[in-house]
Amino acid sequence: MNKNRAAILLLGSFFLLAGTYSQSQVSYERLLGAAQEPKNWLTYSGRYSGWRYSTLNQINTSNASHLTMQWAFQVGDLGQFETTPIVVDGVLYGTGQNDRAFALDARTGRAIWRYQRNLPDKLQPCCGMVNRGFAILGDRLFMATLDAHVIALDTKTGNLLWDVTAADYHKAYTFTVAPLAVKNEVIVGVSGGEYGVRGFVDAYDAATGRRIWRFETVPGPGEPGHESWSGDSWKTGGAPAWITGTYDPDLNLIYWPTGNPSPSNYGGERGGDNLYSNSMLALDADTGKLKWYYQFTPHDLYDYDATQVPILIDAEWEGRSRKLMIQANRNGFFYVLDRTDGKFLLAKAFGPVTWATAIGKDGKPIVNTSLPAKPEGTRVCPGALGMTNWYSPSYSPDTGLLYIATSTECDIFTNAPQKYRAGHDFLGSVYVPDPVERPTGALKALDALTGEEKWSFPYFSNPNGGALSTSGGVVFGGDSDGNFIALDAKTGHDLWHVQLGAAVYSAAITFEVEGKQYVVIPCGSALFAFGLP
Amino acid sequence: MPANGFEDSETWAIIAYLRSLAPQKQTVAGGDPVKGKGLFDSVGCSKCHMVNGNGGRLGPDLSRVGAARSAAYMIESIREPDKELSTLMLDPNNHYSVPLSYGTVTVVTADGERVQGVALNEDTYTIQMMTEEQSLRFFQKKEVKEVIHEHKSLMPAYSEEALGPAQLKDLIAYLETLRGTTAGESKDAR
Repeated sequence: MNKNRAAILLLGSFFLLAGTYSQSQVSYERLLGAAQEPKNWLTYSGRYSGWRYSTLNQINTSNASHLTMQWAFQVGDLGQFETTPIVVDGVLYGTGQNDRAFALDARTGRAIWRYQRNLPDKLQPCCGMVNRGFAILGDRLFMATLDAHVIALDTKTGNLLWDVTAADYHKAYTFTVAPLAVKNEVIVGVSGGEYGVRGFVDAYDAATGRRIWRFETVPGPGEPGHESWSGDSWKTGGAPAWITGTYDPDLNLIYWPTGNPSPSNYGGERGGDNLYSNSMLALDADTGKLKWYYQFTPHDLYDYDATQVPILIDAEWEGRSRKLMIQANRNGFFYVLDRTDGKFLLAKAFGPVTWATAIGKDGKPIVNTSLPAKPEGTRVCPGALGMTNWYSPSYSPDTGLLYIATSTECDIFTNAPQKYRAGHDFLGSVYVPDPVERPTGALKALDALTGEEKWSFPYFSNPNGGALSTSGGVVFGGDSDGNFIALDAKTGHDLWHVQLGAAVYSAAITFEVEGKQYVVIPCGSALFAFGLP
Repeated sequence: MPANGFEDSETWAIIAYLRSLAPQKQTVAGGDPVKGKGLFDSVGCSKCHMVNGNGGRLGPDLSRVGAARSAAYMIESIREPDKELSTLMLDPNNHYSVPLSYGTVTVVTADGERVQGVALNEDTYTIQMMTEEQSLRFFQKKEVKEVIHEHKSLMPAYSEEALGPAQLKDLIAYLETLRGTTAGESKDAR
C-alpha cells in the first residue's frame, strides 16, 4: 500500500468516525422521540412514558423458540446485577455492581471502556451494592453513585466530566437509581428508607452538575403535608425515591414514585399519613414544584414502597379521552390515576391482600383493622417485598396489557420502637416469610385499564426481575432461579427459555445493530445478548 | 433480612449472644450415648442420615447436629418431624429467595410412575430430586404429569411406642456428641 492510498484510507476512516460520533449525540429531541428509533434504547424504560416496549419485531412469536446467545459480557463483580443498559447507535452503556460501568460494542459485547467508582468503605445501601443504570444526554452519561454523588462520564472514553455531592453517605444516603434526563436536567432520587434519611428528588444541570432544584419528599415545618408527621418524626421520615420516574412533555410533569416512611415497620412514633411516603409525585420539570400527589399507602407499616415505574397511557375513560397513569403497586393493588391532576380513578387487587380490604372511592385504602396482633407476629399479605416490587413492568399498546412480575409472599411482622441513630438501620421491626407457604411468583398480564388478570405464567420462586414487551408479540421475563423466558404476549404461552445460572434482577431491553435485533438481560455477573441464528 | 449498620463492637456483642445460645455438651442428663448410637442404627435413623461419612443421604447430614441444635429441637424433630422442616442449600445468587426445605415431593411421570423424595433443587422448568431410594432423578416438568409438594417430612414421626422416653434420652445423648468430623466441616450442619 503506498502512502497516498494509506492517507486516503486514514482520512476516510476519520470522516467515518466523525460521522459516527455526531450520530451518537443524544439530544433532548431524540429522547422525546425515542419511540421512533427502536433500534436504540435511550432511557431507563425505553421511552419517557415508561412502557419498556419496543416496536422491533424481527424476534416474534413464530421464531422466538430459535433464540440463541450472541455474546456475553462479564462485569467482573458480584452481587445483584440490576442495570438497564442504554444503547445508542451500536454502543451499549451499562452500570454494574459496586458502581462499575462500561461501554460495549453492542454487536459483539466487547468492551470499549470500563469505569470503577472509588467507593468509601462504610456504605449503607439496604439491599446490595447495586446500580440500575445510566441516563444519557448529548455525549454524556449520568450516574448516581452509592456514595450519594451524581457524576457525568464521557460517552466515548468513560472519563469523568463532573462529580457533585448530593448528600452525606455517612448518614446512609445512597443512590442506586438510574437517572432520568429531561431537557438540560439530570433527575435522580435518593435511597435510604431503611436508615431514616429524609428523601428527595434532585435535578442537576447536565452541562455543569449544578443543582437546579430539590424536592424534599418529607415536608419541613411550614410546608403543606408537614402536619402528617407527629413530633419530630419528619426529620427521619424516609420516603426515598429510588426508582426512575417517567415524564409527560406536554404537561411538563415528571412522575416520580416514593418509598416507605422510616422506620419502615413501626408507626407508633410517626403518627399521621406520613406524606409523601409511598406516593406518586407530579413535579414541574423546570422547578421541581409539586403539582399533585397521590399517596397509595398512608402511614405504612409493611414497607410498601410505591417505587414501581409509573406508566403513562392515553385512553378512553368513561367516554372521553384521558391522560392516564397506571401502576401495579407493591401494596397489592393496581391503580389508574388521571395524570393531569392525580385524580384517583380505579384500584383493583391483583392478588391476595390482607392489609386493606379495598381502596375506597375516595382513593384511600380501607385498612383491615381485624388483623390479629399476636406476640409471635402478624401475618400480612403481601409481605414486605410486595406483591410486585421495583423490577420494571411493561405495557404493550398492541395487546393493551400491563405485564408485571408478582410474588405470593406473605410475611410475619413483629415490631417495636427503635431509637434513631444516624447511619444505622431504622426498621422498627423484624419480618420473616411465612414458614409454611413457600412463596412463588408469576409473570402476569393485566388489562391496563381494569386491572383484570388476563393470564398468569407461574414462576417457581418469588421474582426479582421485570418484563419487556415487543411488537413481535413477545414478552420477556426473568425468574429468580436463573431462567430468562419468552412468552406470547397475548396468551402467556411459553415460547422459549434459557437457564443463565443466577437470579435475574433486572428487566430485558432490546435494540438493533446492522439489521439484527438483540435482546439483552443482566444476570449474575454478566450481560447476555440473544438473537436469531 | 436487611443489611444493618452495627458498629463492630455491637456486631461482636450479638455474635457473643448467639454463641451463648448454642447447645452445651450433655444437656440431657442420664442418657447413654453408646446405647444411643446403637439406636441410631437399629431404629432406622442411619438409613437416611449420614454421620461422619456413614449412613444414608436422604435427610440432613447430622455430623455436627450436636453443636448446631439444642436437645429440645432434636426431640421435636424426632417426635414431630413435620413441625419445622430443615432447609436445603442457599443460593448465593438469589438474595431474597426462601430456600427449599426437606418437604415431600412426588413426581408423577408421563407413564404414571410416582417418584417420591426430596427436591434438592427446583425451578420453573425442572426439578432435581433425591428419591426415597436415595438415587438422583432429574425431571423436565413439561415431560411429567404432575409435581406434588407437601409440607411434611419423609421422616416418620417416632412416637413413644416406637421410641420410648429412655430410648429417646439415649438417642439425644448420642446426637449431642456429634460435633463435626475431624477431617473438616460437614457440608450440611443441620
